[in-house]
Amino acid sequence: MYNKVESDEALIIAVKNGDCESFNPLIERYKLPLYKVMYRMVLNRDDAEDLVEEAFIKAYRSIKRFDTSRPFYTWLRRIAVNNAINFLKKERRNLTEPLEFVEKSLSNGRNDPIAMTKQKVLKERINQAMKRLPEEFRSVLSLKIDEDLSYDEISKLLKIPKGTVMSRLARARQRLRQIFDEMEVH
Amino acid sequence: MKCDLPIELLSGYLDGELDEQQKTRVEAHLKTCPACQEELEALKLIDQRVRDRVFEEPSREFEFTLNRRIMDKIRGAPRRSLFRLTPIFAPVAAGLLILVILINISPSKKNAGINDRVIYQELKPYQVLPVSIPEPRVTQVTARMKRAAPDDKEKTLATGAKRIRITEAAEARDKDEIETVAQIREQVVRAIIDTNGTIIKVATGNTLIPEKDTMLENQLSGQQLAPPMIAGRKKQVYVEVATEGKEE
Repeated sequence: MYNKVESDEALIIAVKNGDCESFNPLIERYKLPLYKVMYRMVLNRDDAEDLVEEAFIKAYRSIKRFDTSRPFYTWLRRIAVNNAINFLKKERRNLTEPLEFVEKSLSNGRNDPIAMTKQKVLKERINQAMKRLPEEFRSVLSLKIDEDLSYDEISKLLKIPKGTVMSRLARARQRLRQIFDEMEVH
Repeated sequence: MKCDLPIELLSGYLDGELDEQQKTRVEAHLKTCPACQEELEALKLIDQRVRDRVFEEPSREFEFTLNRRIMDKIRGAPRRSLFRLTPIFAPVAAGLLILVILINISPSKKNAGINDRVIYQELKPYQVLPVSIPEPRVTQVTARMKRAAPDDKEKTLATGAKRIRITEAAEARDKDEIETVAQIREQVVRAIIDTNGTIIKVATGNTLIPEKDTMLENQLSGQQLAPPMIAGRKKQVYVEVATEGKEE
């Protein structure tokens, strides 16, 4: 068994020295925070869970290159976010769902507004609206609003200029407002 | 927005990401522009909506099995990389296996049974056994099962013929005759020869694994055929042979 109080750095050094079991506490420590980031980006539980798993495996495979003086979670999250962006690009069809489809999905049996509280319907609609945002907008918005990252941090994480982060965030908010209006999310 | 303040500045102001100069400019503008004040409030509401959106907790499977799944993959990493080479190794391994099988059909293995899974090789043109299969040869379409006395047993076959008739005794208690349509079959005789070409076993039948034929074996045992060569070596193999009466 592993010692839960061991620092990330100590565990990573052990993993780098060939003790793969030391990776287990790192998974335990960060799987839920990482799941939250992934879920807010892809808005689907199964996909988010798969992306978390992939991120940990990718991190393990490149751990030799990791600088132990830097925060492990930041590095892990970067791997996961980039992975999620690639995933969203592949799943672009989710972003281009026509409005009628979204409306239909909201009014089907599972999402029956009568059976759901008004608040829940609203949250569901917000999710649907977020799904219609292009992935480059969705990722910056999620990192800013959910993760509360600074422009600098988002810039480093996504490897894009700070000015691009600023511009994307502004456009993402504008676009989302437009979608909210179309979907009557008020 | 109906004024010329870039939306990026308003959005940046909301995020607290503007430098002092930009911040002063936006604040001064907001004091005099109700549209931008409204816009700023709308942006705040959007952020709030985004925070409020549905969040699904992870599944129980995720919570309880994720670590094991990842650790299994991590522990198996070296093997995984080996398995990636399977497409390369598989044909090589299959080739080696065939080679080993060929090598292990040793010339010294002289005691193979009639049903042993030794390599079967059909020699063409058929080698002709220097004996004849007992007559008569019959060519009829029907097979007749005559239920007669036990001593009324007669087995006739026409080797190489397309049709066969078998009249066979059955229980004496029922003497009725039953006629059935026979399947068209081709009788074959197979012999196992040793490395010198000497016949040691004989079988007859119409399947790939024929039945041992003791009578014919007694007749043919010890007779000589030309031994087949496999990979340049003499091998003990099944050979399908034709009797003198068989047409090519």
